[in-house]
Amino acid sequence: MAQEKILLVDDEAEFTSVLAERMEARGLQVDIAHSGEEALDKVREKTYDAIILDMLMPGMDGIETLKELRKINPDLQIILLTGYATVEKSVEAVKLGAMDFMEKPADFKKLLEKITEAFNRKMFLVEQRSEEEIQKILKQKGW
Amino acid sequence: MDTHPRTTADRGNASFFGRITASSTHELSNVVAIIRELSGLMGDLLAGAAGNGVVNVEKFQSIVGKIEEQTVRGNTIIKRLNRFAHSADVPVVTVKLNDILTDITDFSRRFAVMKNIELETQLPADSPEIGTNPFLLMRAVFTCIDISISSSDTDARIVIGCEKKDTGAQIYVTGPCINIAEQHSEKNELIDVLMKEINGAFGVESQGTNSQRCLIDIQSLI
Repeated sequence: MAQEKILLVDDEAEFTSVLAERMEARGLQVDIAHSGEEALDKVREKTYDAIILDMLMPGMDGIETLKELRKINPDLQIILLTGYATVEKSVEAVKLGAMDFMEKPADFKKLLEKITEAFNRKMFLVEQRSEEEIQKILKQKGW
Repeated sequence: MDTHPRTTADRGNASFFGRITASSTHELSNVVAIIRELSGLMGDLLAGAAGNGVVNVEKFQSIVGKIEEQTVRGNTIIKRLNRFAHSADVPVVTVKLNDILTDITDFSRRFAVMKNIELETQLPADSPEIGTNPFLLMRAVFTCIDISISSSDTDARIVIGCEKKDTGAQIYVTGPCINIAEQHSEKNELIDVLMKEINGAFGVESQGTNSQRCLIDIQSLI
């Protein structure tokens, strides 16, 4: 895994701090947000390969944050973390565009696998967008 | 005989129990998640030390301290939840109101935090003791706090306290102004039903223009 950019969004400061340290030790670039509002600010400033988002937070909850994040960038790869994964909430999250969800405490190895999957999905979308753009230019210019 | 409110209250007991348990176990899952990552970090450090032979003792001590903090936090949640589970064991028992109010405030805190609302207790040094049904009393106070939370804007402050009265005690929940009869008629009705069960009385008192108090007067059942 090399230099994927991750945003961790969770109001549990100790949790994000340790998780970030472990991810950084594996070469990931990690930013932290402790609220939905802070996450939106960061996503407006910077692009991320994956966002790990807690479902239950003060102020904007995970679902609300997910909706707003997708408005800013519909291609964002978002993995939801939840303390109690109700089927309804999880289905709602996936319908709203979350890539996946994991129950807390999440298995670190599986989380890294999902981050890799998120990165691959993002790269695929980027390539697809580039291809569409090239085709559009070719049509416009008539080459 | 008016059976409907009683049925509503009984059905709500399970829901109340569920809300408290779900909230507490969610907090516990955060504790476990932190401990799991801390132990994972120790594993990472040990794997590194096995390679280069250098053990960062200070780092290990810091992690051990954090694990200790989380176990204390987890233990507090478990003990509180256990006391709550046992509150339904007997219909009437002598309780210290300070303990009851501290526990129910702590349970309610997570719901308040979701709206950035602060909960504070103002308890007397010498706690009033009263013979009552602790489960139903906690549910009544929780409902008062719930009304205040749902009526508050973010960044509000809600104060929970009690004082001894001649033949019992009075519990208060002070929060922003609300029209309880119009906005929370169902919860209002529920508290009235609970009051009948524990020989109490519920009322709302204005505290100036911006706040008001939900009052629960209880008499000892023993």
